[in-house]
Amino acid sequence: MLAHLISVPIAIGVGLLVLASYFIADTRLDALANRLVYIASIVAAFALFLGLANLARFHLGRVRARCPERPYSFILLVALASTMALGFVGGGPNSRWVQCLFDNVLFPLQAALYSLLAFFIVTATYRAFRVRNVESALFVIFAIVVLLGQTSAGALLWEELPAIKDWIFDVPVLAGTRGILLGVALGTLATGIRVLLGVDRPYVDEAGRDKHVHLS
Amino acid sequence: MNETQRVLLALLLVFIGALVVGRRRTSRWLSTEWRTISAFDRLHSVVQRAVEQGRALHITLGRGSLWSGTAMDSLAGVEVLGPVAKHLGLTGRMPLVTTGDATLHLLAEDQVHRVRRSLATGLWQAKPDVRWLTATPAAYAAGVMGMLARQPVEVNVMAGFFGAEYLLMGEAGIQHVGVQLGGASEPAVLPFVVTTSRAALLGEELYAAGAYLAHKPWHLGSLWAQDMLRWLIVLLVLVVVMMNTLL
Amino acid sequence: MSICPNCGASNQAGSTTCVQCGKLLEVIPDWLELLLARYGEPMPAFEGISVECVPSAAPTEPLGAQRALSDVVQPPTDVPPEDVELLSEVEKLRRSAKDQPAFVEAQPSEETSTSTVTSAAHKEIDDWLAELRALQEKTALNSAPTMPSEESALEPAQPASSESHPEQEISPSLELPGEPAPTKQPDTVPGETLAPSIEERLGVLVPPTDTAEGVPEEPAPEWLRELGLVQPEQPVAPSTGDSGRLSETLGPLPVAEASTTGELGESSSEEEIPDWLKRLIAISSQMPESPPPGEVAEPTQALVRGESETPPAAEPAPEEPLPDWLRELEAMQTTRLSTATPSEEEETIPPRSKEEDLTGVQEAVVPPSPGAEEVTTIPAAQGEEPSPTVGEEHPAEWLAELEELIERPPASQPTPPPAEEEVPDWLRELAAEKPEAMAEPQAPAVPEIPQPEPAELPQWVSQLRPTEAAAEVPPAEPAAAPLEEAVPTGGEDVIETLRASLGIPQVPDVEGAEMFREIVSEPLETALTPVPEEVEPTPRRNAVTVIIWALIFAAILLGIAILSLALLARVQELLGETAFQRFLNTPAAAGLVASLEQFRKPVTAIHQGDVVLFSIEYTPATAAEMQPLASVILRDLLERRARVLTVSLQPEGAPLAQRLLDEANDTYPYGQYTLNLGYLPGEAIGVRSLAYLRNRQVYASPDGVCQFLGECPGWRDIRGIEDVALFITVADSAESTRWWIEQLPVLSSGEPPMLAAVSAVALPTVRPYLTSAAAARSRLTGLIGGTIATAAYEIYTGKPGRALNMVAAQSAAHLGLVAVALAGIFAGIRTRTDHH
Repeated sequence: MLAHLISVPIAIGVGLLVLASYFIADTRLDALANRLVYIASIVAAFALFLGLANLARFHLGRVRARCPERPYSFILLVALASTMALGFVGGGPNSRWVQCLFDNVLFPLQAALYSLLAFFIVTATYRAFRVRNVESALFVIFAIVVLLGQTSAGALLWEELPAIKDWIFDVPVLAGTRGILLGVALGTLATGIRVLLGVDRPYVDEAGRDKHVHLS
Repeated sequence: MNETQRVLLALLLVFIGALVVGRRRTSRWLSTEWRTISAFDRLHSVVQRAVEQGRALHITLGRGSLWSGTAMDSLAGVEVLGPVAKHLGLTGRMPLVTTGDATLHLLAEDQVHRVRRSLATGLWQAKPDVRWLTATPAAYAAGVMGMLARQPVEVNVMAGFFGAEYLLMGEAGIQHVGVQLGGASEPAVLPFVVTTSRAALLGEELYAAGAYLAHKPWHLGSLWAQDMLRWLIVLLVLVVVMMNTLL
Repeated sequence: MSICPNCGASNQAGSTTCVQCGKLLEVIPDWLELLLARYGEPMPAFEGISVECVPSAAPTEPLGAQRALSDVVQPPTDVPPEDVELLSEVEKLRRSAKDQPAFVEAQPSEETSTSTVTSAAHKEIDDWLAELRALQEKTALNSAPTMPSEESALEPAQPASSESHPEQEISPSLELPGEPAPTKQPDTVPGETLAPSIEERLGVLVPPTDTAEGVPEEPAPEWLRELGLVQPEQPVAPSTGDSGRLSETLGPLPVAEASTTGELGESSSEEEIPDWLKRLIAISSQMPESPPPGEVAEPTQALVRGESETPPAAEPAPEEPLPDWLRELEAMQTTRLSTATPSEEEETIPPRSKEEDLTGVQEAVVPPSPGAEEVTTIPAAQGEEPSPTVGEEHPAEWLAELEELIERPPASQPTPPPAEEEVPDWLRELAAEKPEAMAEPQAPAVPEIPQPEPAELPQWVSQLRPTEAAAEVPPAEPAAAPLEEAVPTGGEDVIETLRASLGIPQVPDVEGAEMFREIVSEPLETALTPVPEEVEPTPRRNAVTVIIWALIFAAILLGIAILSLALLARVQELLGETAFQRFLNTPAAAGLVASLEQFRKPVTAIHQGDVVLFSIEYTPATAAEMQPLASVILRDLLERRARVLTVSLQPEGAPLAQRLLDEANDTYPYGQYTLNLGYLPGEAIGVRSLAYLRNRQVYASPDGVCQFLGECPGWRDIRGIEDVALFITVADSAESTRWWIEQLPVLSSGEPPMLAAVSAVALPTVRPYLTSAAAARSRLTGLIGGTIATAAYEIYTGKPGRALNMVAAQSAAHLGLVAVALAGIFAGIRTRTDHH
């Protein structure tokens, strides 16, 4: 109960303050809002520490329990420790050592992993392009037109393909995207308003409030 | 306050009013009042399937941070996590939860532990397993892919904020998992969700989890408010188009 | 007499506990006791008796001649306990009667060594043991009673060591009296198998007068019936010069104890015949009639008692005829042999075992008949047919009673005494003495037990029990026990338990039973917690395999490269830079060109020294697509001598921006034209922190001195966001672009435009912000995206870079993707067609 009395007013007050700073042009309000956002970023950074602790605890447990995947956990722990040590010893996250580590390790690894997307897109295309009804047929036609129109090779096949592609982008795709974005915006607005008004309190343990499971 | 800000403020106040009216109007769930969302209908059966198979149910909440614009997607994912964990907890088991953001990890872990405490029936309850994988999208996708490949997961649920890495995780799920459900709000990710999931939550359907799964009154009211606002926007668009066309 | 099953000691008939070990004696017939005693212990050595077993020797002299020796043996009047072993001596007589010439020759010789006697005795004992066991095995195998062949019946006993035969099973015919089960008994004429030999061997005990034909047949003596050596209703085969033949039911003699040996040795000290033998002979000569049925139970005991005492004047009467009972036996045996068909047992049992049975029969206790003093030879040679039974046309009652006794279970019914008129006088006298002996038990007093326990049959006896009888035995578990309780967890026990509970007889293990066993023996699978799936260990690959696969992969790549080289020129011509340049000149590229021009318009309006805020919003994962775009835009800005400040709302953006600035460092030094402000935390909220641009900390100090933007030389004139002339964001997702688009108007109230260079994926999502920018009051004035736009930008700036090289690959990939899509379409059509 005490947690409710403390956390809920703080959450509601801070949220409304930052929201008000968007509508009200006031220097002090802006400064306060900025300060609160700055504090939130620091809190999020500390959350990163908690996440690191959770990560280390989990993988240490796997190493100690001699799980089959313990080599991967061991490598992760070694990489984590060495990167942190390099940042502390090398002169910070902006140091040349960290930059070198980023250029030669992180950059190639992430690029290689995302390169798999190309192959996964092929398999997804093969699986998804099945004409079952009118909608799926239109979907297939549009997809092929856009694929061909995106490259100069399509222009070689048909000069109008790039224009059709542009039309597809500008009209149906844009319409659908706007509709989705509108719905997402409304859903985002609803979720945010519920949190701002204190109706939804995910940060509070409301034991016994949600008793019923209504999975249909 | 410029014009945009004024419009936004007006919209905000209207929505708040509609939210309150919707809360009073739809205080109870009526299946006839709301359209069927197949992903939420299947969620019950996939939980049962995971229990029957004796394998884990994995749910990942994406990499949206709680203190950014992606917080709402993450909160919507947590709304899916709660009922699933509660439903699974009735059998003494807990879902396997992964996140790509540290703040989201804290919220998810708290949610799961809260569910476990509420289900303290004296029976044996499995220990919650909530993991924060990493902060970068590629490493997050790699972590989820490895988990799906190496651990006995029967059901994979992906609900939250994702980027292009969704396709990596979705394809891995198709190869190793029995059933896969997904939901995202990013339009660029929706094709990946549709092609890799048995049932998908597209866009705003992700935000309806609290209403469809937990039947929360305020969530039901916000659904009603969203529908009202949507009709209002449609009406405004038509009026403006007619005015611009005719005048 | 009863044999203790625990220690094998012989006890007086009627005693309830063993005199030696004190264990409760079981009510088993004497013949069985004899068998137990015989096979439970090795045959002791008989001193003073030289018996030479000549298995192949056939008695050539009439039985009467052999009886001359038996006449010497007189039945003893008293029966001390230690004389129980006299039974064993009787079998010696029998053997000696079989081997009459040897025996007769041996008897007069006083120089016969004890060892010879002992060894010969052992041999004879072993022979009949073997024969008995063989016969019993034969009977146990066959379900129907069978008739032993004449040859096997007349097969002489082979010398065999006693140690080799203790475990041999006695022929069931020998243990029939008192046996509960054997269904074959009524039909079998085991006596016919052994009778000739038995009769021959027992001829020594048969008075010679009894062998003469015409002598009225006498019923079998009581002791004989008890021994089981005679079957009821079996006509006694008339002797044909051979010794009197008895049925196969004649049991073996009891094991001779050590004390007997001394006596035997003492008796053997006589010049010709031992005293016990003389007594036996005397007894046999004095027995006119068979004892009554009630006294059959103790014939052996009485005989032993009688035999233990050396008859004072027992002399063999070789010329006395066979007793009537013996003749009846012979007649019965002859009848049986002539009528019965050979049994399967007979065919299966090897001759050797039959000989052993015959040997065992020889050792059976055969009390002397009235003509027992006549030593009769038992035909040992095979092939001898039993002499026609005397009195065949008048089946003796004692035989009938004996058969009846055989059919009855031993534990349930006592051994019926033979008919009074069938027992010889000498035996009757012995029986009369028996009550007296029983009245004065010489054994130590034992506590009376009200109810004797059922007989505990030895293993070899129980094995002879037919399977039907075993199936009829109720299981230990109650029949009403639920089946679930009766089903054990083990696989083998399941079937056995079920069978026992349901009373199902043993059946061969057929395939169905095996399948049932497999099904039932499957372990129950109950798991409350998910059992983690066992991950099969990945097979180890040796170095050779790895090398092979590497070579194969290299070969594939080489082939692709060679093939590509051949097509590369053509591909470049079709899809490469020249083709793309031609494409840009076509109307098809009008939209692309227009968007590019719209994008470059603010860039070309930049003046020297203008500050451009360049945000890097992509990750290393998408750097392959976004870095060429960011690089070409940056170069375009630097060529106009603009001052570029790079920021990022993502943690990885700062090093990526630094990487980008380092590439242009040669021409445009870092710190003079470019400066990296690093990571702005908070994403959308982080944009708002740019309001205090001067106080922003630089990512990498250009001179190692300045830490903030306002401190760095060449950048001190910048006060805030209002000093920025152009905002450009290079993003791989629409969300980060939205951050800038949505937050910038709040941050800056001025009119600096905003440009967005996004990936092809985010382009459709960001496009609404461009088309409705005026209505949305957004700052977005230019939008390009994708590799195509990058390549076009490179052409327009006159600086061809990596994007132009990627166009050909991207075009080919798009065409391949279209082919895959078409393949998926046709696969779906075929699947649907097959389904229909």
